[in-house]
Amino acid sequence: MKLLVTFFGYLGWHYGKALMAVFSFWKNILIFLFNFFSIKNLLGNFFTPWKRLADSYPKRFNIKVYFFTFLVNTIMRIVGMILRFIIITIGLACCAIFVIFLPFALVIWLALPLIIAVLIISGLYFLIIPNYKI
Amino acid sequence: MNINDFLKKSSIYNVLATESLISEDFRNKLSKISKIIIVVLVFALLFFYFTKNSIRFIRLKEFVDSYSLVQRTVGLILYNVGIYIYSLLASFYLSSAYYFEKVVKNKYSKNELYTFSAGRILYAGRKTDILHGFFDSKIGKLIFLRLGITSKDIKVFYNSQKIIPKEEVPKSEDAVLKLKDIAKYLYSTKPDFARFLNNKGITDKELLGAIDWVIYEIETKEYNAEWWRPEALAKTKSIAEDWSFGQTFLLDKYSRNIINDQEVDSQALSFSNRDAEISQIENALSKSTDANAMLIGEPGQEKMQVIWNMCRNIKSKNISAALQNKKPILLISNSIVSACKDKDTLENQVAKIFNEVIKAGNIILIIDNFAELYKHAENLGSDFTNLIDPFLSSSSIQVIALANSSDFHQYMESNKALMNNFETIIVKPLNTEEIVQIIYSSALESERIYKIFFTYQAVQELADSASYYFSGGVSSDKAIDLLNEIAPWSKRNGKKIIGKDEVLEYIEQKTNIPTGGKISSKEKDKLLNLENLISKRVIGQKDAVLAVSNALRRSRTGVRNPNKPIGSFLFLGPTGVGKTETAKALAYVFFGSEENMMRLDMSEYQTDDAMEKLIGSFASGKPGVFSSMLREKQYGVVLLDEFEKTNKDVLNLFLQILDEGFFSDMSGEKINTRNIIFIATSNAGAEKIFAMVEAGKNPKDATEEIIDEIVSKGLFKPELINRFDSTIIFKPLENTDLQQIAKIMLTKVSDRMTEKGLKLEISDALIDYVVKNGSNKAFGARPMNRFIQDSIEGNVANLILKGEATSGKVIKFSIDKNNLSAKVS
Repeated sequence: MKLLVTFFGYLGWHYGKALMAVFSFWKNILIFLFNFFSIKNLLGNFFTPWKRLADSYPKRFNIKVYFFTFLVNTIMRIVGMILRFIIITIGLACCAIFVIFLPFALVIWLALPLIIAVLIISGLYFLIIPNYKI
Repeated sequence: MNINDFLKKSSIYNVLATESLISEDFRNKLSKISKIIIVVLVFALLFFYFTKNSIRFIRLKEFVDSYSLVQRTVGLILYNVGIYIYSLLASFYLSSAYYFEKVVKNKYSKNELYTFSAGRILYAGRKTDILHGFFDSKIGKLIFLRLGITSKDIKVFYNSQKIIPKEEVPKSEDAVLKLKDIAKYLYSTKPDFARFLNNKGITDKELLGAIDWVIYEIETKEYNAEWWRPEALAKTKSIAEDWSFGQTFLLDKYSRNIINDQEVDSQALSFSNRDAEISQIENALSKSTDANAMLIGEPGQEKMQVIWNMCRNIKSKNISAALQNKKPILLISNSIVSACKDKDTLENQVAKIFNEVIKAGNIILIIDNFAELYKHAENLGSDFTNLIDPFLSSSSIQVIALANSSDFHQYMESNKALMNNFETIIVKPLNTEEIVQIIYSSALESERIYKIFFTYQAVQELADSASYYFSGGVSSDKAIDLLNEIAPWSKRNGKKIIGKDEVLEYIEQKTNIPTGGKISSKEKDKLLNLENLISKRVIGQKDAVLAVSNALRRSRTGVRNPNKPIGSFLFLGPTGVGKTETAKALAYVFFGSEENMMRLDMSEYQTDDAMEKLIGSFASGKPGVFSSMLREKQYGVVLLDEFEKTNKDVLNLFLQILDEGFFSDMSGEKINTRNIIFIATSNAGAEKIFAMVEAGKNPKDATEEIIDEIVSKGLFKPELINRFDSTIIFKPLENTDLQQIAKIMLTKVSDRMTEKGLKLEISDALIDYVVKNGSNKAFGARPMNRFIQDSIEGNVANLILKGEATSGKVIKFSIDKNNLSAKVS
């Protein structure tokens, strides 16, 4: 009787509270990936020079200095944009993979009690009656 | 409602029932064993698969095939994988029932009726009663262990208790029944249980404290296991987070990033409630301009504790928008001070550092010991305030300056231009309860490293003793330091369980202060015979000796008020009657050496600068005689000679010292006087005492009268006299007392002569001669020592020089018509 009560109690948790926890686990990891790749930060500063390595424009107009400053700053911006683009792409790809992973994770979770039963029973079966060859 | 019905009404019941079937230990073992089997078998299988066709292993292949070992191994692996997943799921299931009442406050729903910890006690007692459940449950046993109660004692008490059938469940103070509610119920309704604890010296407060610690221990373990919590995940450093911000090459030379400091992730700090200070910092740093804060506190780590807590919040993204994703950089003032020796270099470096911070755009600049940098700049002649003002008032910088309260008051508070840029935040010192919580995790860490065990009483004593026996600094720092010293000390001394007595024993060894821990039988004898021991040196003052002895016994047994000095006495009486000798005897008997008596001649502190001389000068920065004396020696006897001669300010200072057991020196630093015996002596009222003795009265019976006269003369205020534990009247010495004193002094001379091989014959006539010539009414026995030196010792010295007094000889003094002559035989 006690065994039955605990078994049904467990099933109630597995398909109730724990199922919700799987969703929140998935959400937490997704937010973590988003933060880990600094996606929001990189998008917000997409055009900023690489590590803010930019020269100040001269106070007195000098076409030569002005041009070189512009050139250096533009290069630093382009370097920043390329590197940011790479990280953003990798980050978004990881997030996408993880989004796709959810249905699989759900199926595995839903079937887990059954999987345990199958593993134990088939394990015992192989152990006791090894009737076919691998 | 009875226990069973109450238990079944909550969803936690199923979890408790599951736990009773598969205990935590069993679950852990199951998971460990299955994991090992899986790994070993998978390796064995792989080994077989890759080597089966090798000639050397042909026979092995035949053997394996004949017994179908491959299939059986696969079966065993599958079986163990099933078991492993099962034990893992069971752990998740049981962990889901924790409420985290301490780690995450009040994470529960009302309809769950009780916390998991309370449920464990009730479940264990569902067939008996709550008291038996408490003793039977694992969590109950853990609590008793933390209280230092042995299983043998528990068994005897457990068996003596009758079971109460169908006991009602106690009512909770909250929506959910907690373990503490059960403990309070048991303590208040079961007199036997309360007596059982009281007999072991355990109070209800300690019982609740031990419960607190045990719950903390369980919850921390469970909480840390949940690595997928957003706060836990947020601790991982993001990549590319600083790509959009500037570099700080110069700043890096003088600073470090503290976001990954060990203290930030330390559990020890998680319970020091710094929310108020952090919220003030957030408000200050969220302003559009002048977004700066100055943290002011006692010297020590408390200010950094606030900063580390703030860093924890930044890391877990639990902080206001203005501080999110920011890098907390600690600028070490001393590094700049030592590197920049002239004004130009300093100004140049400081301006560059601030520019870098602004350019970087993601830095919170924390300046450690800001006053040091400020003082250095001012000393070099730099206008530091104007130098940093444009940066501090800009909208693109956030600065947190840390300053000791004494430095803040002395150097910066009056500088309005500077302080306009800062929001001042006072760091509140932690109370004992908060310090105990900080020690919880450090004690658990020490237990793990040194394989020792702390009782709750030991942890409580660590928190109490840190501020009680060690003056200056921050109590929480001192408590942790003490813990870190005690752990290896106990390991070295073979002490595996550390209780309150062990903590006190260690403190006694470290400080030489008698702590009231274990009183050895030798010391017990000493305390019980204090009067006799002191009376060997102090003659004719029985009342005074008795009063002092009683005060010391109160102190040593822990009955005294811990927030006052050990004892404070006002000795009134004529000169030369034993007041100073009593103080010396006390230092010798109680603190082990006469050197533990510190003497202040209060007649030297009569002028207006007396306070400055005693506690130091704020303006000149000179330390005071009294404060330095007590900083060096925190325990002993302080003799305040001629107390009535000092000025009123000093007398007012002693009003506070005698009442509260501490005072603040010139820099505002608190100085502890709680391990001191104060003895103030005064000749005030001497004439009245003489008059009473001459009239045949005992001055002790007229103490009130003498005090009234002193008060009426305006020498002491009545409130000051009342602050002393006791006012003791020393009566003039009688002739028999003086004879005893003369005998003691002559014996001392004789002892010194024995070292030279000589012997001094002390006759009654010699004693009478010394009394007659070496004492008088006005100075009591005070001139006696000088007289013995001049007459007796002088004569002996002459005989030695003449070559008459050689080793083995006896020196006899004879008196003829008050003339002294010495003979050698």
